[in-house]
Amino acid sequence: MANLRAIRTRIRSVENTQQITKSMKMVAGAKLRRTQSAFSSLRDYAARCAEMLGRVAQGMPVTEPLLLPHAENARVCYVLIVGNRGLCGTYNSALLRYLEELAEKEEREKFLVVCGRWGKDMIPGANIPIRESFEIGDAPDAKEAEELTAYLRGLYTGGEADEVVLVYQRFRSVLQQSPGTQTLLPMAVEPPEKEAEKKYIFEPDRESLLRTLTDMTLKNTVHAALLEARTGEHSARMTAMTAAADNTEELIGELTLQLNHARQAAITTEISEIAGGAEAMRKNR
Amino acid sequence: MGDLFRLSVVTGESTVLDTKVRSVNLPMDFGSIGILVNHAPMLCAVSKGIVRGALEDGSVVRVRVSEGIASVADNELTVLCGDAALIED
Repeated sequence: MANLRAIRTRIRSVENTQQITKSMKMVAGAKLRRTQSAFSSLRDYAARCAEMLGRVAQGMPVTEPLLLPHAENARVCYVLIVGNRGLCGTYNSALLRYLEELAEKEEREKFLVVCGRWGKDMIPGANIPIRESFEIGDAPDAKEAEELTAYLRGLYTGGEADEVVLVYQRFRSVLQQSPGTQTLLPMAVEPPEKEAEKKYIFEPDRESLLRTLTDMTLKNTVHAALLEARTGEHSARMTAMTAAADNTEELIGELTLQLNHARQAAITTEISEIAGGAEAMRKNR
Repeated sequence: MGDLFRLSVVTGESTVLDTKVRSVNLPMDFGSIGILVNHAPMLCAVSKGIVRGALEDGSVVRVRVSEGIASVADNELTVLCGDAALIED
């Protein structure tokens, strides 16, 4: 009988786990929708900003410090955008492994700026000095992006870093994210695709427009990267939790079968005991 | 009507306005400028203030904007700014 009770307890605990994984999946799904829609509207805006930047910068001597590469290229700053928590499959650990490989090949002096709460004790193991950590929410807003941008820009213009590289999980689809890099600074300007010879009027003047647009584009790039990373995190968590919920379903099925076997066995034993007892009494009579 | 052009106000979060207008008034550092159909290509810095667009039926649509950039080309005026909100009457 102890076996029966043990199985029942086990089933109940698996059911609890199932409830947790299902609700985590739902929460991740809701967050995913939010970040995904924010990401897609920002992408449109960012593309337009970049296009305008291309138009302003076209044919102009590069004077803007954010666009100019440093004369000496000796220090690189990696901006690692990890998730805020675990339970999302290999999302975080794969990214960290990717960073380690990247850092191994890199001969310049390097340091790390970490965004996200995950891996407070895992990341130092990668042996890259951590300069600064940023808390980024589950749905990064413009303000968080602005703070991070201001800090990174300070690193570059202050000469502490000669290259700023974002390292994060690129979002391919809900089922697939792959680690990748994007050079943030010095910024690259895409030349405009069409209407190259169109003469534009610049108000108030080209230099100040260039400055405004580089600022906007820089911030957009950081914000888009944060949103992309979070979108990937939420979808990775959703996938992981769906798999976990499916597993609990299977486990409950197996355990229920075991329970039924055990119960049947118990009933059979009881009946044969009664039958045996009755037989014995009849013989004694 | 041939004398209309497109006005859109876009922020990082959403497209606040996308409509056909007769004329637009943009806030700038030195005051405001009016833009009509067939304007020459222009890129300009928009300052914090109110963008006014005159619709075909004569009514005026107003959008409060933060600092940003506006581009005019091919009868399309796009205002990109960090923050914008439609003012309801």
